[in-house]
Amino acid sequence: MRRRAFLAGAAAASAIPAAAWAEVGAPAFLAAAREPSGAFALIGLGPEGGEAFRVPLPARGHAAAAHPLRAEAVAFARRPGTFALVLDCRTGAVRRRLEAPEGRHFYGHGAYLGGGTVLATTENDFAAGEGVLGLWDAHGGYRRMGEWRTGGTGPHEVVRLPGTEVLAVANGGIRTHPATGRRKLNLAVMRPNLAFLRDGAAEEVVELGEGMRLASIRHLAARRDGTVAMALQWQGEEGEARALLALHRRGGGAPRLLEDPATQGAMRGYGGSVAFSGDGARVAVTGPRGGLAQVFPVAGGPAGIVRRPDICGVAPAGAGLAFTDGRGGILHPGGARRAGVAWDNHLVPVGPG
Amino acid sequence: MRLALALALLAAPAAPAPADVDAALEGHVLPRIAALADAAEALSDAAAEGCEGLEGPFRDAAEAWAGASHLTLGPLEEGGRLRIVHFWPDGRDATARGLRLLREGGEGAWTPEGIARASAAARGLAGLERLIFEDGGEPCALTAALAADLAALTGAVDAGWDGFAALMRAAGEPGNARFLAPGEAEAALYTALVGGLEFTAEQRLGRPLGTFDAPRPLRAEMRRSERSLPNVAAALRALRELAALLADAPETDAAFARAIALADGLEDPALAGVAEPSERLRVEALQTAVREVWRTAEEEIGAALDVPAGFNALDGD
Repeated sequence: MRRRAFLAGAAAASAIPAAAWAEVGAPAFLAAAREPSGAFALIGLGPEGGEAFRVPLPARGHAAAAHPLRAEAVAFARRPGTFALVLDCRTGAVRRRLEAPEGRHFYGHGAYLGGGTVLATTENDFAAGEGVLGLWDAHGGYRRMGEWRTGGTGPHEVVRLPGTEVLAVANGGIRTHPATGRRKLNLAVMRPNLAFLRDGAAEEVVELGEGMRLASIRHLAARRDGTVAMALQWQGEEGEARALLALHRRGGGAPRLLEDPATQGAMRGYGGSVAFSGDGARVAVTGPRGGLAQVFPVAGGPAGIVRRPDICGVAPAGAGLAFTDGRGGILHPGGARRAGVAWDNHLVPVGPG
Repeated sequence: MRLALALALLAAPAAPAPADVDAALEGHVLPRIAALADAAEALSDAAAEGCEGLEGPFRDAAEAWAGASHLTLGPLEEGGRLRIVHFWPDGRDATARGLRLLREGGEGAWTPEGIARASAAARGLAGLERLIFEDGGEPCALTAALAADLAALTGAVDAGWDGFAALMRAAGEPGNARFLAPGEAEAALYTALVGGLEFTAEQRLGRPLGTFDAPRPLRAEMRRSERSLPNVAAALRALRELAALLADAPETDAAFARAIALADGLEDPALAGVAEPSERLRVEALQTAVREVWRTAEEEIGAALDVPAGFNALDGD
């Protein structure tokens, strides 16, 4: 489906009266969390990690997508989930429940485009074993509008390149089927890629190279200049794992791999999340299995290491970075604090982007 | 990262730490790390005198390492030191390749700076074991240079623990970004305990055991110096010491006693017997006993300390 067609349709619905982010404490980040009671919640965090709001979730969430303007977030069930909830972050009310269409399930990430008029969600067409982006009319009650092929298998995260309508999709390469849960069905032939989509057409599809075929491209971050950072998860023997972070810019030749020899083994072959620093000068990949994050200068040079047990979430904060972990820790450029919850995998920045 | 370092330096050293963190630091961590540095220095002193008779000092250093190798938090995790002190497992024999390059570089390259630039696989105990037990300590100057490098490295680890111990004691203090709550320092020591048990069961014993059809005796840790089994016993004794300081855990202690008795009863220092059915059974029994310690420690000590399992580490998404 062509974007122009549904954007025209969406424009007919004028601005919905809804709270803006400023009305819910102007959060800088969203994160899913597990509370001490065992209940789950989506929490808005201020720039220094203070709690702006908290709304309950019915089950463990994965990532959330923050609407660029309205105080509204979409929380995804963990894969292979078939629902996502559109949450009013002021009242905690569930505004909509998105059901994956027949033959599809969500992977747990989504991104807004068209100034918040359309939500794109990563999904599995599991009969075909192909990735799709589901398109939802975010101005019209989140009606399903159609879908685009992602140009690969197992699309996990999708991000919009800042200031553009181009979507970068991490086609992780791993085929799964709901009948077999998270079992990986195609490791012998997996071929992950990073695809750039505009109006449903792939403008560029890039792979990491033959030696990196077993590195599933899973999570993404985009810098203002369009450089995309990829966090990787190694599917081979842990001891054979290579870089877990790659950078690519459209038209910029082969992706660049970043690794830190001193701590590469401690990452245990698993990159959890990825983010550029606010000033764009550094890029971080988290390693929850080893309790560390590698922070690389984009221009080159040795990595800095941040250590926290179960560290996973990372997002730009000020000029620098913020991190969250499963013990409740929040590290930000101004200091650190600990919340009484276990932070889930991702720290999602809030803002027009 | 600069931020983390700056925050670490802000940490006030005079915080009242939980008694067991202090006890574990004073009664286990700091003496074990100091013993490692001392043993490496003794090996270096001996190697500076000549390259004969280094077997004893090497084995002493290996004993000290087996008693400290689980203390991977803090200074040992900086700059890849853990892998430099002992590069193992080494499935691709990177030690042989690294040593060959060092030999080819010649004596002019065996300066402290030259050794520091060499492959981690050739440095530390892995390279020294080959030189001492396969080549009679030759070339002497290389053995001495590697031993001096190891002494400097472990000395830096020992010195670094002053600051890191202060950081652990200041868990939960404002500005302490590494340990955000008092219980986190304890939790880190518990993680070291469990990690040490896992490494002993699955690597030190698991690698040479391989499978029944494909045993891998040549993969045993420090088989050349016949330290494979003694390292298991030394690690178990050190881990038992740590466990007792972390919590009152009688079942864990009893499980340790059973595993240590099995290790002491074996007479197969290089674990070469994994390839022979009857001897193999005894090594398998030891591995089972170490796994039992591991499971018991998780149930008894993990529960006592209320340490959460990795929420994200185990998520796999």
